[in-house]
Amino acid sequence: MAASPPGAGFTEGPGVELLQKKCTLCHDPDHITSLRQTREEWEDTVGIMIRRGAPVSAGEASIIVEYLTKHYGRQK
Amino acid sequence: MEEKETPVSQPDSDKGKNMSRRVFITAVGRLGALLAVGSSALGGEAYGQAAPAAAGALPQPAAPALPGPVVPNAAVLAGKSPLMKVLTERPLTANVTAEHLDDPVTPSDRMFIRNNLLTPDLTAGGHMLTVKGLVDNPLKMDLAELKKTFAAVTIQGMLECAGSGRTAFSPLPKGTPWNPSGGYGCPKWTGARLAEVLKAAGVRSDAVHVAFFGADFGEVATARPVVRSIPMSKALEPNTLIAWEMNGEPIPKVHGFPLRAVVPGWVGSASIKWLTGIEVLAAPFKGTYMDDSYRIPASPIAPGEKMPKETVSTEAWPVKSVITSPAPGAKFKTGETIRVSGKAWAGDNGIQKVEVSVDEGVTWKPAMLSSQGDRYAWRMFTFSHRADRQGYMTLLARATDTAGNVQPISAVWNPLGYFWNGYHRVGITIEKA
Repeated sequence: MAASPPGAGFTEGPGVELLQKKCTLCHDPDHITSLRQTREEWEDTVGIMIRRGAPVSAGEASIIVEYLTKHYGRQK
Repeated sequence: MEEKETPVSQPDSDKGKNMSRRVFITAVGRLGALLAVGSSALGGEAYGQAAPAAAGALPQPAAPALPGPVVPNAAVLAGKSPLMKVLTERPLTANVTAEHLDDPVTPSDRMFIRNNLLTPDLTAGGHMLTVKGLVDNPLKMDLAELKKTFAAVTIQGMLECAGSGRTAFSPLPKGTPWNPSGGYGCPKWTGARLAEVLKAAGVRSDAVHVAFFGADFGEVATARPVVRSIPMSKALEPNTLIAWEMNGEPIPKVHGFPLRAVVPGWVGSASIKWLTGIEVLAAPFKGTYMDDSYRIPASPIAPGEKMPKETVSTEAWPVKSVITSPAPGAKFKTGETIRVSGKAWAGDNGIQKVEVSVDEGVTWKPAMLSSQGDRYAWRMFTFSHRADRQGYMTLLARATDTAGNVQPISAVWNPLGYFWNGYHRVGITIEKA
């Protein structure tokens, strides 16, 4: 695994800034990084968060799901 | 908080555009569906502007200008027992484990915390409650008037987060990582019976559900309010309260000061905190806290499978018991009598019996049950075991409710990890005297 950015707890990679900006407004990084989910499960999670009011656009959601699947994914 | 309330005429406005989620998913695919109410519809980011990122550093979360004062987590926790273990800080969730819940009535400073959003810093003066929807006489009264109008009743009643015990499930579902023995409590509540309030408002015959609206808000202006509704039958049940006291004191801020719903025996999320509005509806409220969570498959599925199309809302907890003494890891001497104590509860049902096993469930012996208190109070049990053999041993408890339901070894797995009610296992060691 790549080095984590200081204080963030997230693995470095495309999309990490977006995650840091959007998701950690309301959630502990640890709570996100302790999960391991399939792409479909991450899509569900991000979808629910958007329905709960997360200010995330279509393009941003794709980047976030891509990042989470790559670094915090699991095989079915 | 009028703007948070959903008018009766548009009960599905929380989802946006009156579009059925499922139909939309079919039409444009999953990722498209999740964007149906994305930022273009809701707009906005945090309340304030994001702080400029230092050169080379990641952008930091915004420092929001929130719509009202908030009780910081540190201040919340300063009022709680040092035994409270924080599970998540955003949103704040915390609990004590079973061995710290041996008191007959759960002390306020040991009551579990489960916020969905922030802890609003409300004041009692001027706090308003509105009752509207399918009623003949909509009500709007402040707390003082509410207390003056309706008789205060005090009941001891169980509250338990739907996800209590979640980490005992395998595979682990997402959600608050409640440890296997925390996420519940049984304090005393004082307030008006919701049935009396609804009677005063004159509920119409087509009423089906009653929705509760709270005053809490999130870090972002677009955060959906936490709204949950319960069926009329439970709303009219005499133990369902609009409460202003917990254990004889004003409800602590994090637990809903100055007013909250108390729907005992049911999933904790039904008991909306910081209550500002009650709306009588012709159908269950439609919103993300009704439709995206607090649901289980209509028929059981294999562990790890995804949520099926047919789901049901979580309501009353199933039968459950925990051992509150001895604590895990306790040491005893051979020949000593081990006094086991614990609690049992069963949603809308009563407890018929509790049994204890000291041999991993090979044999069971009846525990002594305390007399029945309030309908939704847990039942205490005690059991004595003479430590005859040296070494490690486990204590197990299992409860049976008045409908004959027996607590299972392991709970039925479900994708969101609700209703863990498997046996509580406590390991202890017997040393040579």
